Amino acid sequence: MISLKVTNSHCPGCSLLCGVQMIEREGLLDVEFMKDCDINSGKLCRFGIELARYYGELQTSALAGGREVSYEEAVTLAAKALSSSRGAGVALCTGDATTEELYALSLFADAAGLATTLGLGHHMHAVGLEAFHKTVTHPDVLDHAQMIVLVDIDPAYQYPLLARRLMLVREQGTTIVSIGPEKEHLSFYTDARYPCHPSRTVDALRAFVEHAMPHALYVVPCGMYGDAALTAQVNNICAATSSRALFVTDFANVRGGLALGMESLSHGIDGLVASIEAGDVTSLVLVESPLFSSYLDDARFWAACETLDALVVLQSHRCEAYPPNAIVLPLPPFYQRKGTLRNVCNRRLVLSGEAEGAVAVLRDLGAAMGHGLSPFDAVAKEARSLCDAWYETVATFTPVELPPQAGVEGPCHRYVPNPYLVRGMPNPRSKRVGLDLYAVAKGKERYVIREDVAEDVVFAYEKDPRYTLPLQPYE
Amino acid sequence: MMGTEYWGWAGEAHLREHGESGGAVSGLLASVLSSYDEVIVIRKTGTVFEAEVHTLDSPQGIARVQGALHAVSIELSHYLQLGRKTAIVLKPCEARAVIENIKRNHVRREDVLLIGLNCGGTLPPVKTKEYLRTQFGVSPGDIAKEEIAKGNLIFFTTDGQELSRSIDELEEAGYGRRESCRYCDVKIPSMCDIACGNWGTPAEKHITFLEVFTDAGAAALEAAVDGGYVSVSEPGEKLAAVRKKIEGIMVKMAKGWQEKMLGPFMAMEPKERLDAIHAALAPCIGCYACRKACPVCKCGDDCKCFQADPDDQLPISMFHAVRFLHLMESCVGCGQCSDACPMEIPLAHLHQLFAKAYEGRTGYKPGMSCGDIPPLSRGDFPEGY
Repeated sequence: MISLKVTNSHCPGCSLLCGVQMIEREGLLDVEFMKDCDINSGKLCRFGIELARYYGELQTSALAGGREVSYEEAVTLAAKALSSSRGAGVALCTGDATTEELYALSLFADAAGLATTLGLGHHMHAVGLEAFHKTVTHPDVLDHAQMIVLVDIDPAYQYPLLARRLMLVREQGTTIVSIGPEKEHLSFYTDARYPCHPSRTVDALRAFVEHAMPHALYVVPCGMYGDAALTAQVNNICAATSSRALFVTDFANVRGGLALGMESLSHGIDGLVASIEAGDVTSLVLVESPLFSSYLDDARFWAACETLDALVVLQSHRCEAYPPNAIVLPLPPFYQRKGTLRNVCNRRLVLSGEAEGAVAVLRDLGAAMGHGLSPFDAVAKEARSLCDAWYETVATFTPVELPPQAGVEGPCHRYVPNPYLVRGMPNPRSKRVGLDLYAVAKGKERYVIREDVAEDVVFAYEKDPRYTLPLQPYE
Repeated sequence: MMGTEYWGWAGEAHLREHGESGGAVSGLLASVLSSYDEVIVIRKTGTVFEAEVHTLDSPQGIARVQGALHAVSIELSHYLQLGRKTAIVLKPCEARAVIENIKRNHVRREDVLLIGLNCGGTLPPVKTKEYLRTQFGVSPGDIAKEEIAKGNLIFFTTDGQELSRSIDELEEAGYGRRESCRYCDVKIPSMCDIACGNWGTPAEKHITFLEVFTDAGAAALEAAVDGGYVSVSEPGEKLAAVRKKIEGIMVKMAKGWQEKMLGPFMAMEPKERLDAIHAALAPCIGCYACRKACPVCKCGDDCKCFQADPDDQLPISMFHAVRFLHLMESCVGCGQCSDACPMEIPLAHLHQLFAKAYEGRTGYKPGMSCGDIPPLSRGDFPEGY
């Protein structure tokens, strides 16, 4: 008899964490729609549809010095490198990990004297952890909002299953407004649109602080490259109008990490790279943070990493290449892990795989460095208790000073690239579009010719006249 | 036994008890388990809203098999593979998809035993759970069983309550069956080897009505009876007529829904209809989930629908245009494309617009028989077509 294994899982593509079933049959992996999942009713975006392909690109072997080594040897080398590092160290996980893995990382970091970050330190620094994170306390927050304001976000392209939820709540009478770059799809789920160039959104929102409708829900992208000034401005609107904010992030379990208090830096990834370049950070542990393939300025990141005393990478999805000093420890794919997750709406979810993932690897690494880690069940229990306690408290927004806006280097500089566009996509066109956005954001000319993008045009999905509109001042 | 109707029930007491309607399907599965490479079924994993595809590997697993979970609409025909002897339990739309795949040489008819289940429709699980919470104040986790009987959707709670609503009432309120199920007019899967269901059985007894359509079906049932897995008797003549009557009523209701849901589109002037199709497709974000979910589309990555210029400026993308054309003579109306669409585009409606028009002109209904060759393939179009 031929066996078929079904694993109930969640898509790691973004912080919505859509439900999906992964089917293993005779060595092949496929996706089945999980129609009973309350988040997405089984529906998936392109990234979710292609999950089997994404999971097909796995980091299966341990690497050190650019060659394959045994897992044990890699652990020994990583422990040695971390122990002998001369300066400060940072453990970074952008969020594609279970809460248990994140907690294990934070325990490991404590023992090894490393700071922890989710890549969101600039947002945290601007508004404080509480305001950022405790704003959503109910999984059905979208369903209960009378008015939703989309700030600098186009869910149809960035988070399609969020766009669907917006369409459904709008049918139930919720008013939806957008402010930011104009996109064709916004018309399908908004009642009013205030098109403005991304560089003007923070200013445009100033009026909202005094005049906006109370008790609204602001949906804001808040990723590694997101502008902290925008986050702060939305925080201030929420403080002034008793509104709430849904900070949408690109990675799976950022909220789990935040609940554990894992963000200890006051700057984002750019700041981290600068610290490495300055020699202030000399060791880096990356857990499921595919920055070698997706960091905006990958050459700079690569060069900075080459100067590190210790570069330890725990990764399931394969990168094309790693710096020569990287010690790479493979992780099982996301769907094979066991543990819990928190999605952007604060829904507690379970990954029903069997693998301990980074918990097991960090236990081995810790043991090699002379500090142990509890068994998985104990780690899970502590992590859950910390998260639950954190979520039970209710915080309010307090007004903050706006930090300086991130430099405007080109149109659409603040687009937060999302996995729907860039991660694991087999469609080169989609990938190219994602990289175009990166390139435009950083003023690089590697993927896009700047002259193609007129100064007064908001860069949109394609360089296609149908998708671009002249700038209109916000009124 | 071919061409005949029976009342059946499982030979073994525990299957009679755990299986639906006396466990005849469970008995059949137990009987065929050793003769096929694979036996594909749905297995309940939690509440009545949660299930997964499952390949049976032992008789012990049969008790967890679910034939008719109305709130689960997993499409099983995807799991058939060329050259593999497989027994599979299917709803009519899935069985029709298998027939279409057989015509396209993706599956061989002689390799598969199609055990069909009569179907009055399936329910969208999330919406149905919402209905339970908002209308009955009941947690979906407290539902032990659900049933559709005499035009009502009935939930039985774990503490013994029976919650019932008329399906018509539910559907007027925006709940009830999936939209494609409402206008589906194939209720008894006559394209299968055997069709099973509880229509035409005495209400007080746990019995399955079995209708045999093929030699393979007859052989499977005969072997099951000979092996003691299934017991059969002649069905009561009156109740056999009731079964036909139920089918007739449900088909009539489906035709009414077709008129209601597809009629307005059909009544439009061509230009107006085209505009309506444009408007319906406008939210498409090109995720291709519809194609992934479609049980008939098996062209792979070389499919013509992918070969269009991605930067085309056409009002309907070539992707959808090619799919409309492809599926015009093969869409079985299962609704999986609509279920999968993240932008809530009513794709099944749109495909059925073309498929029903084609059926009206040519008399060809996809998925009903392996011997029916699509008119576009045989080239003998009706006069004036």
